[in-house]
Amino acid sequence: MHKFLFLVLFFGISSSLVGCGEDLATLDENGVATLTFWTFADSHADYFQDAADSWNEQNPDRPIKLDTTVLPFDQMHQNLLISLLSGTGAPDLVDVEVGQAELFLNHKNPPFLALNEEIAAFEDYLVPSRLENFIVNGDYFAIDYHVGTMVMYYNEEILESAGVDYREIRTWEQFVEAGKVVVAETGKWMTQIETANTIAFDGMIAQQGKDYTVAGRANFGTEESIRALNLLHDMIYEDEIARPMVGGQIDSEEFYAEMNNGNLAALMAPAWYMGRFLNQMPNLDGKIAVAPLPVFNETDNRSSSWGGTATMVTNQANHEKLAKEFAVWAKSDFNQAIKQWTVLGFDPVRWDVWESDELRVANEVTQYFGTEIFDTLLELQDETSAIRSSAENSSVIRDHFITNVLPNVISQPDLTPEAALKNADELLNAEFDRMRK
Amino acid sequence: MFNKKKLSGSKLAPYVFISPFILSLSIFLLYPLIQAFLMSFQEFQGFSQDVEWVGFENYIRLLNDSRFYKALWNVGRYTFWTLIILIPFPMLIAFLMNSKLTCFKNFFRTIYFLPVLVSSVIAGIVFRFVFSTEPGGGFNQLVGIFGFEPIAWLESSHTAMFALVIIAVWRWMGVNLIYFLSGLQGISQELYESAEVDGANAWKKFRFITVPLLKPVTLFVFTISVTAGFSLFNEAFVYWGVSSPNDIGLTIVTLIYRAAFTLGDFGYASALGVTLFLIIITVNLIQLKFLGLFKED
Repeated sequence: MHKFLFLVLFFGISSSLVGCGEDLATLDENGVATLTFWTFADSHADYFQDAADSWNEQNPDRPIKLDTTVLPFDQMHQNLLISLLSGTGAPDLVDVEVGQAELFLNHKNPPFLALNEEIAAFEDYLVPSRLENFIVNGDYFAIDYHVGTMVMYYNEEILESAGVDYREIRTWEQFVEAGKVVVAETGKWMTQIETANTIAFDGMIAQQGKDYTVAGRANFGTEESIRALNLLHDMIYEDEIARPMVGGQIDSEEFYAEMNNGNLAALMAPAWYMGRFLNQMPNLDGKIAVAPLPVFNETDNRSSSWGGTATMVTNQANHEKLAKEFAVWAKSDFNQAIKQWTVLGFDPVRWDVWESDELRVANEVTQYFGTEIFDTLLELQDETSAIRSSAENSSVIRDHFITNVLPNVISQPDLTPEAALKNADELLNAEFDRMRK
Repeated sequence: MFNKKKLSGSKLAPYVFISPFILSLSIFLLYPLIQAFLMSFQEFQGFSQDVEWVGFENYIRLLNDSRFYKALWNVGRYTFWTLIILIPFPMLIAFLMNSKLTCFKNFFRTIYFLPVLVSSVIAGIVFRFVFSTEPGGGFNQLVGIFGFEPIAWLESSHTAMFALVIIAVWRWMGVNLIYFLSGLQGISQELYESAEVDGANAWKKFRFITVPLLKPVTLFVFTISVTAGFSLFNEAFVYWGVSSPNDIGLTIVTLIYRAAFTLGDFGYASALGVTLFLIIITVNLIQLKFLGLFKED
């Protein structure tokens, strides 16, 4: 009797601890294939659910059922890392944010399936910079949700009261001059400078055609980097048209309030930031203009791209072919790309949809920003090349910039931009050399 | 030959009762502990299943990693301050609350204990706003009353340490208070009465009766405080994430988190974990020796 009880207890406990790795992705009696999908954003889950419905309408012979799990950002990437390392428990499809992509892709054999064939069918229409982050050894592993075109958001109300026309700002020099007028006339800041992120700095490097990660090494000491960091520093301490950003970065509660209260006239941010305006800054409705970035030199790009999320097919996928086709189709099909705008409010990864009438239909975005935004984004479509944020060692290099360069140059300056950048190169590359030994 | 009698009855029962604990201990604690120790001598090769044994390489890297020392310095200071504050003050407050003269004891006990019920992440987020750089932040309003300029609390080393210690004090004061209170209940009232007869005042009673007799509780609080101090993570993570300016919020657990989940470097992360384990054990052994626990008393 007692022995029986012991066995019951033992197996009861053990069985509650195992048995979580059940295979869900099999065909059911109606021939429907279940695909599992992990993401960290509810909006991405909605987008893919909608995509699955459209797929089923168009492919009645190969129906799918999408089983989506939405997890918090860090947790999802950690679960993915563990399941890919242990070789079990990973979903068929998964969202990987571009900042995390290095960790997953930077290997001889990434744990995902190459999508070369599937992407080839759409390649002519896709914005190239959106594929580059996810190419390893010539294999394509994903497509982004959006371009993340970098633009300058201007608060027209502030600029008008200062008598400044943002359309005349073409260079960073002119931007600074306009800023001086804004500060003098309105007492408001022209802009604010990030202390805990690198969006503006990355954009300024990319628009000059450079990168600060080259072949796995830090490359901050370039003329272009020094020029960019000098500009950011001088806007605060020389020209006094800016201050260190409230909340440290553009995606913080404090900064939403600061922007919404109309305390700054211009903000450099990606196109996906339009969503933040819509949701977090109701006061600015109808007051924000979207314009190209100012440039350092005539030959510079007037934009770049920043951020993004890849949807990849893991090497544990059960319906490999179907999963690969669906993952690519869901992002690159013409009508799907339109939904990146209508469902997600993102700038689509297919450049040809920008000219389509479907995008011109009035919605809350055009109401907030006016219909000119399409022309601006279309105008910039060839100028969106970006720094490669999934390059080898890029996350260590970026982390060092945030922990050691920005604080000592922007928040509490005790180093010149040039000294801080050269210092960073030295420290980081010495560390990489040590690791290689 | 199977002996039915031996297995039955009272002999088996204890094992059945402790089996859930033993099972969960081995699965969730013992296995990971041993595995982490083994992994600290390995290097992971991307996502393939094969690992390379690298001997002490991860430990040598650790000894050459300036960020490790920075993290150690940070958590060392943090532990020092939490010990300095979170042992004498809760002891004193417990002594006062144990006094017959104090009113509303249960009310105060509840008030002191409440912060523990708040998740450290939520508390951290609230404190992050309180320590905002802007003039509107809670602490900046406070220093504003005394005519000081707003301070960038979370951007320089000393104010950052203050922000970390404040949250620890707010949170753990109540818990330590409960430990000391329970210790006080065990001290016989007669001792105080006879001291009174001999003419001892309140301070002398505290100094010569309460403090010595609370030694076992103090040791316990010391041990858990050292462990908690060196394993600081949540509060620092909520304030700054993994990247804080000039690493003022870097802790050893942040380094482990970063190595494992940002860089996928599980071997190095394990080496850091094992080292943290050894540091905590060493500090605790030193204090036990220092306080004479190994001596027969």
